[in-house]
Amino acid sequence: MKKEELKCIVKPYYDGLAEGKVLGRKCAECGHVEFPPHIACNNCGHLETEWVDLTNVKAVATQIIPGCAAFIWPSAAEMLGDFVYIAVQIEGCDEWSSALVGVTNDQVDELAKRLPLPVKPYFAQDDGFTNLFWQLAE
Amino acid sequence: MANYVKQNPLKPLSRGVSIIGVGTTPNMHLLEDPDLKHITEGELFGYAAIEAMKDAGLTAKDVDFYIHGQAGPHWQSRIATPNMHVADWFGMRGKASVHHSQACCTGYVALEQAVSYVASGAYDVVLTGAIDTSYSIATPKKPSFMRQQAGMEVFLNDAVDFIYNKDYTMFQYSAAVMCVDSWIEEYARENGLTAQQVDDLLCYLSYHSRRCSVADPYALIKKSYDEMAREVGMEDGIEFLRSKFNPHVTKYCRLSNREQTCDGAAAAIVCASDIAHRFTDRPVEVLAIGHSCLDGGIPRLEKHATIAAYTQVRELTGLTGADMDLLMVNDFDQTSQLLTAEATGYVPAGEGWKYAIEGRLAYDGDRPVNTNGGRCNYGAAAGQSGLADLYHVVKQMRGEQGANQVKHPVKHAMIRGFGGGQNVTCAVLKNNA
Repeated sequence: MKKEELKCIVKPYYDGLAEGKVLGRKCAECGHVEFPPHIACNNCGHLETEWVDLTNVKAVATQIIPGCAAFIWPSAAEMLGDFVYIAVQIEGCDEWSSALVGVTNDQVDELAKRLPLPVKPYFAQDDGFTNLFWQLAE
Repeated sequence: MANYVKQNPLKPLSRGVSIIGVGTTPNMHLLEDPDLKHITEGELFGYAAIEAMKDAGLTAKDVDFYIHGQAGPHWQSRIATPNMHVADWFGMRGKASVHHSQACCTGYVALEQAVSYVASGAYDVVLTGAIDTSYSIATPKKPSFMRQQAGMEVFLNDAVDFIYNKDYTMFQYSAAVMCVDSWIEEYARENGLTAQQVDDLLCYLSYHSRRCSVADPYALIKKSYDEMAREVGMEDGIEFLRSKFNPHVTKYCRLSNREQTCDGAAAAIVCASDIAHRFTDRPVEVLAIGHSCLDGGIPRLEKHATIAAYTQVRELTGLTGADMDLLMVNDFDQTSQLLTAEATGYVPAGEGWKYAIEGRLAYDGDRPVNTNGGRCNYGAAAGQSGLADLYHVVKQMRGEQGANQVKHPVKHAMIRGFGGGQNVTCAVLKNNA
């Protein structure tokens, strides 16, 4: 592959987060969207995908798990405050593990009864880069 | 539910492959053992390899190739080419070798690697070994006998940092807890189990798995929960396991349901089945090894990849979990025992939790799982675990396990590997003695 055919994927994703955008890569063959973005399609195996803006695409939490002190990264608690763990699914994409900000462990059982839960992006300033988490949409 | 795994069917091996010898060290905390606190990686690997060769009835001259596995040679041993660092320790100087690392799945992939080398026809006899010193690590720029204890800082800053992808909010913010709790949470929801029922099944899993490790000569932990209960004035081990002495570390898992890091090595000799009887009259044939890998960020990845790997071996061999006499599961989270047993049809769907509570998954139960005690009791020497489990299966098949020998003949066994952020394997073995 020639040098001019090599394109960064991870860096533009993080550049997008810094601008308040959530980016994925849409398969030109089957329409599946890779989130987080990758070069090829993990649904049909097609080798080409294109950038797509997912910022305002419907997203839901499909699973919710309480946080636990033993596994919380110190910087995460400092950066996010209250949060729990979720499987998030953006429409057209596969599920991905992430954190739901602004929710305490005490709320998890009640929220679990309402799955799938509509969520929206939550951008947080991490150590030298912007990171993506989620918050309740309602 | 999304289908994360697009697996092609597994093909039959080009020629039959059998395990003819096994060796292992005990699982230990080396730094706490006055006799062994200075033992090195080369020595540990060498002793396991030599035992495997003796068990197979051959010498190093008969072995064509060796494979070295270690979960974290960088953060544990501070070496980049570990197969060369052990090369001279068991009589195979000059022979071809390779190193591989799939973190906690290393020892399971170790078998697949050796089988592939032999099935290709390039080599007839291959030694595959794995070592991990996750508890007692090397000291920078010092001889390898000068070890130091690996604390939580090393685990978080080195081990985890090496294993998990740092892109896309991976381990630090979600994947660790999702890996531990997401499958059991879904299982509880689908089967209508209360939090109390989940706690009961996990406490009983701990109790019976500990009975297995207490009976196992090579296990790390030898003290029963009944004994631990008596030490704090309690009636029995179950009461102890439900108490403050065994706190929850996640929503579902208590301390007793988490792996116990340790040090150890294990090895096996794999050869072409058509010459196996030159060396032994009790070969164990490898019928198939399924394999699926899913990124650590995918929720319930262990479930998806286990089903994918199991489906491969089921379709190739025609055997199901119900045909197995013994199941071994890499369970750094103990929930894996139950969930894998159900996902592979080893126990009926939706019934496994009752089997766990009734002790039917213990070595003296009718559907034994992890009869060495598993990672939470036998110990987790990370990359070595798979070959330690293989050692145990071979001994069970031969009827040589001793106090934790299962109560029925073991004709078929399944070994489910897991780890490496994340590889999952499913091996089906047949006792051809």
